[in-house]
Amino acid sequence: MLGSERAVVEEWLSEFKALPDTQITSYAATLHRKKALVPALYKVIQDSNNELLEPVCHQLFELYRSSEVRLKRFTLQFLPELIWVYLRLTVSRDRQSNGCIEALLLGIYNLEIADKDGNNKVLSFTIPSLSKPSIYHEPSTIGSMALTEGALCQHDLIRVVYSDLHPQRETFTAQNRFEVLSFLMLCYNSAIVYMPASSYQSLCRMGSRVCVSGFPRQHEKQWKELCGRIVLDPEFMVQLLTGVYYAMYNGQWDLGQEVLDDIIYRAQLELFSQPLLVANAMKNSLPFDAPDSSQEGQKVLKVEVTPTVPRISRTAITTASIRRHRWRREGAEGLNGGEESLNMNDADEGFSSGASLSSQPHGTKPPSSSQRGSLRKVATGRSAKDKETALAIKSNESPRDSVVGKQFVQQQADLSIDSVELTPMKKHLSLPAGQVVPKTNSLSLIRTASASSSKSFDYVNGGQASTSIGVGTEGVTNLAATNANRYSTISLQEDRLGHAGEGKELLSPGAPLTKQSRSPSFNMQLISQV
Amino acid sequence: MAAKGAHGTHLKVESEVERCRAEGQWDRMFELARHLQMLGISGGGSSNRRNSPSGRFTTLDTDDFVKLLLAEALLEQCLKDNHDKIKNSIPLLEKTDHRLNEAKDHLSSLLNNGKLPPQYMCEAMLILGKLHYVEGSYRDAVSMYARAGIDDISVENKPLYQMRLLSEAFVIKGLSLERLPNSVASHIRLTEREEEVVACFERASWVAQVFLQELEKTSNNSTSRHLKGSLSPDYELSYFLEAALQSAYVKNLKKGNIVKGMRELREILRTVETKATQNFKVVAAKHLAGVLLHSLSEDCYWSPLSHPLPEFMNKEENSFVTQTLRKPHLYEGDNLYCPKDNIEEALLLLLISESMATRDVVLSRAPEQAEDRKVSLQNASAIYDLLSITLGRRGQYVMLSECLERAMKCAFGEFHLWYQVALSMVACGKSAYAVSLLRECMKLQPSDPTVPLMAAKVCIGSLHWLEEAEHFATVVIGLGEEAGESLPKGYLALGLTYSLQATDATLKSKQDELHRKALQTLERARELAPDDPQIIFYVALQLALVRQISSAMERLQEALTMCRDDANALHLLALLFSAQKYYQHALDVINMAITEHPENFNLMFTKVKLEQVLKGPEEALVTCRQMLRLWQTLYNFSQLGGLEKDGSFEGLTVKKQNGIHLTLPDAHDADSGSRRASSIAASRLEEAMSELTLTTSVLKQGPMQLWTTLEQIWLQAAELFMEQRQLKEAGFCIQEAAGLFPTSHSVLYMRGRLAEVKGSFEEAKQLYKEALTVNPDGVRIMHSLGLMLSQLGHKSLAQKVLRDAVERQSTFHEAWQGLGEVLQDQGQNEAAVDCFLTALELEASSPVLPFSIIAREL
Repeated sequence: MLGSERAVVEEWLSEFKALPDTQITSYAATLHRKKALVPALYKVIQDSNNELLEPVCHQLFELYRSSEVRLKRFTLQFLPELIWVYLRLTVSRDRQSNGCIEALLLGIYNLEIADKDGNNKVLSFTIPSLSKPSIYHEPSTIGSMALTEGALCQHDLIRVVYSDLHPQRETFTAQNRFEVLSFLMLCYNSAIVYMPASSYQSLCRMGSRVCVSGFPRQHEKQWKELCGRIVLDPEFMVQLLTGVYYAMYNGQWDLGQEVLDDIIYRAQLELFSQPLLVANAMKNSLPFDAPDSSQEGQKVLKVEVTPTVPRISRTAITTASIRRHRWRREGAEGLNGGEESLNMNDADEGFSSGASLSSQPHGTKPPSSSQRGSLRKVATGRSAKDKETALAIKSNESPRDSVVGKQFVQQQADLSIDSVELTPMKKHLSLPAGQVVPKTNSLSLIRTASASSSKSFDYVNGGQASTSIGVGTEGVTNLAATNANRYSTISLQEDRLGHAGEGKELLSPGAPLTKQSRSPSFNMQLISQV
Repeated sequence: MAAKGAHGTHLKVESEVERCRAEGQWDRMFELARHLQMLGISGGGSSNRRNSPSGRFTTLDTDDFVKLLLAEALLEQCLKDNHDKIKNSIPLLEKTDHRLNEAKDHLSSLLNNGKLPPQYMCEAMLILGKLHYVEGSYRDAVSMYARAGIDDISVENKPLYQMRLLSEAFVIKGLSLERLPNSVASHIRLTEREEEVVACFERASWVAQVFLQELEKTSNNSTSRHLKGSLSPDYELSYFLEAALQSAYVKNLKKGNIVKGMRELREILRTVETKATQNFKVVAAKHLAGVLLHSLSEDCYWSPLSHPLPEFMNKEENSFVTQTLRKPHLYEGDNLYCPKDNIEEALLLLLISESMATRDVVLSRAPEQAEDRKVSLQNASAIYDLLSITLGRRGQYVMLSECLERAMKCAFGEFHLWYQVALSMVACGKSAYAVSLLRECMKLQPSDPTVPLMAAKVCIGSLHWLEEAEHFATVVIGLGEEAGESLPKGYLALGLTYSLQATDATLKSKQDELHRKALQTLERARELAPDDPQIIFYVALQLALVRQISSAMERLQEALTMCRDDANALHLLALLFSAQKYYQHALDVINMAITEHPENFNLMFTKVKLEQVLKGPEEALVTCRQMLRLWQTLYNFSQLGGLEKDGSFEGLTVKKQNGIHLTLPDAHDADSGSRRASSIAASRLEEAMSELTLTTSVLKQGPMQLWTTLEQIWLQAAELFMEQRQLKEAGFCIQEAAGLFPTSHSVLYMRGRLAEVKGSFEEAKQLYKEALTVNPDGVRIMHSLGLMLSQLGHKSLAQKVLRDAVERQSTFHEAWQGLGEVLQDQGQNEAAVDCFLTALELEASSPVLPFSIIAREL
């Protein structure tokens, strides 16, 4: 330690002692201007043999105890370094020498666990519920399905205490060590915004060292302070990660990444699931390059105008599409059976957007027959290439579209592929059941309809086993012969199969995607097995 | 009549044109333009003559109007096709795309003609400005907008599409200004320009939001009229609209203006979403959550409805241009939930975006959708990562595991997601589930040694699935060198598994075999990692288990130099001292350990035993009393839970559990200490039965271990009272314990002991038998039962029971002695002598409590 540094520290020690209470505020405002002071204090703290250590620790505690928040933060910036020095000494031989650092840490802890009135501070937070309207959302726009899922089904906000009942501590023991240190890190993290860059660097240094000391990885490091393995605690490591995450985005990109890796290394070796979980998430969410290396220490974020439309082809099967599909089917079932209530609690139901409005034609059409419901289910399960089929059908029907009106023609282009898929089928096939069947003169119409739809089935099943084509076609042609009953049996069977498929465990790890992978072909095969 | 019809058609086409321009359906524009042109030629004369207010075009300017439409449609189509280039601001060249050329010709010709009404002229300028930007002539774009006077354009009572044009114009102006070369060196000028850019972006964002809301309103109206959705559910935003929505906050965050950027983001997120902005909202919410997590902390948080703290206001000047524009609709209501700290806000945002993003994840595995799948998956997994960071920070692993579970539907083949779900299950204690998830992770990433090790840890620890643990450990060892620093841990896991299996085994030969394998494997681990204190400690423990006391001591001292205050190491040291009959040393060590770990009941039970041996039951009872008091101060939250019913209790228990894992004795079974498979089964049975028999809800709270600890304390006290012949007190203590677990085998056993002391042998025998039914592996029960049977004269039965006991636990010297006595009574003196010798030998190395009470965990 240089003489000048010593002088700076000594001056600081005497100055504050002589300070009258009235000038504390102005002193706090000017403290950060003493540029040489902070590095000098770091040196004192790092050197456990320094005779200034004790008065410095004492004064840091005095600052922390003062009513001035800026003085409190001045002390808090040294917390990472203090923790490092303390932990290093716990594994070394001479434990007595860190008495004043221990006292300082415990002093801060004992101040922090109580609120102004001396009661035990209870830190709690609310877990928001999507079923309650918030300033950011309206429950009705989020699908009722999403709300019934898991934790969200609770209809009240839940208040969770995440830190409380910390007793006063007079001494460190092996047992309370990390309880105290984790709480101190929690306090540090709450105020981390106000810390200077040197404190972030100290935090990163501390993180790396406590994680790696005594492990083989230490030999890869630049620093050579050898000390044994430091016992760590998962919760403390999570708190450490929180601080490191902040530092990383606020000027300490490279150092932060290094610590993150070190923490992962240690968490893997110790098999600590909690820090590993959080650290993996952090690592995976990091952008590939620094937020902005040109402005070291600045709060600069990497954000870009990102294309938000995930150009997902409309035919791709997503949770939403499965959902829409199911809604429609359920609607049909509800209508024809009258027994099956709309089962809204399916686990994989995702999100019902306003889109379901437009993609649900039931409301606008008279109740459909069971035939329609089942057929539509077939129709919706189809894959991309059905689009062409559907269009083929459309061209088939276009002569009659003049009845529907010009408006419809204009809107054809706007229809989502779902409705494009649906409308033609429905149009044709609901006709026989609805009103046409009794009339003989419209029989021809049914034939054309059935012909076209059987054609579509051929098309769909083209790539599959020939039996499926046979069955599919058979089913449809049977209908064409006005054998409506046949249809409903098919639909029933298909329903049964469909439910059997759903009955499988959604999350059984062995077959992870049973339900989701109900790709069109799978669906078709189900039908074909009938 | 014909003219009127034509005019009607004209109007219809016009409104159709407006609709298409608002919704961006450029493909249809060509058709409509042609239609319009035809109408203009045939019906133009009549509309001109009648000078109808709604027939806005004369014959002459129909051509120009059509040109305008065509130019816009061409340009927009070109933009759509070159989305990536525009995003990276690579100028498009006239040469490469004839459409640009055509559009430019149309526009310049109609601007030169100047025959269109001013409104359309203005539109032409806006479109030309966009074209200039696309070409990379930023200065031209800016001056074109200046010519159009965009700052003064009002959007009230104008067709909807004009709002789109205006919003795009603002964002393009901003982008152009950003890209203009810095010819002016003056700092003031530069900051002025920066401010103008931000102002442009802010206005663009407002107009865009109002536009999209209005668009949705009109399209909803038309939907209800025409029964069919005219707007596709996924209305695709053009690049410039996207830029208009995002640029303002992107610019601010890029400049490091967290406060302004956050305000922009919050405003955007608070506006009522439309179908078109849903995807955008997910992105914005993710951004805001990220900012809240990595650039804000609890102490500086300000809620979305309040103003930032003054110290932040100073950093960034707060000049927000108040605008006369219509504001977009915000979410409103009386009881809106508003977050109160950064974690709450981040969590709310993430939950909202999670519910939106997961619905769009492509599930099908078709190769043509691989790209879509990747993108949508990345989106979702980014949200789950942020959720993990948020909830991990607050220790809410149960909720996290529930959230991550929902990610499983899109996690097929994705190691990261599977692993994260698995880790969250481990973190919140859903062990069985965690193991099956980890098994899947192993398939996805077979080279990662941490995954099987984690599984082994869970199997060894809370599940006690030793076969699985063995499998997982062998997998790690099978990785060989590839496992790196985890290899010794693999051996450690295998060694511990063998050791635990040895404790469980019922046959002596099997036990010996497993103990030998355990020691071998642990020694191998030690060779690989000679300075891992954990491994050395378990070597020592294994040596102790096979009663190699002095070598165990050697190893333990080695471990203690590295971790001097480890509770288990100190505990083992005390037990080793007690095995060597240095009771005073042992007590000193245990006292030291207790000062370091004052809440560790496991240590205290040993202390009680040591005091009982060394100083008599009186002092041991004092320690028992201390334990009771400690238990009360630590876990008397049942009253507290009653006071704060709403959820705070939940956090409390979660919080406490951590500590309990560390400090409570691992075992229910006081005599055999460590968990045996059968004793686990027994305690499960008890749990189930006590749930049936107990009506007090107090007991239901908190983890099981907590209550078994209390039971054990009472029973320990009962034993001490019995030793002091204070039978009434002992009875009370047993009653207390029975109040907790009436059918517990320990309670039954202790009741048997009491009955025995009281002299009612038949009752005692009955109770012992009952206890043995509940826990068929309880050697102490067998021992007492054997002696009781022998006393009652059932010698051969007693011999059988005692033989069972020594078979189960060959180091149990009391049982050997009892067996010897029975054999002697039966006249088998030779066998009896052997038994006595064995007992004597074992007694010489016997600790006060079995070594197996020390937990063996990874």
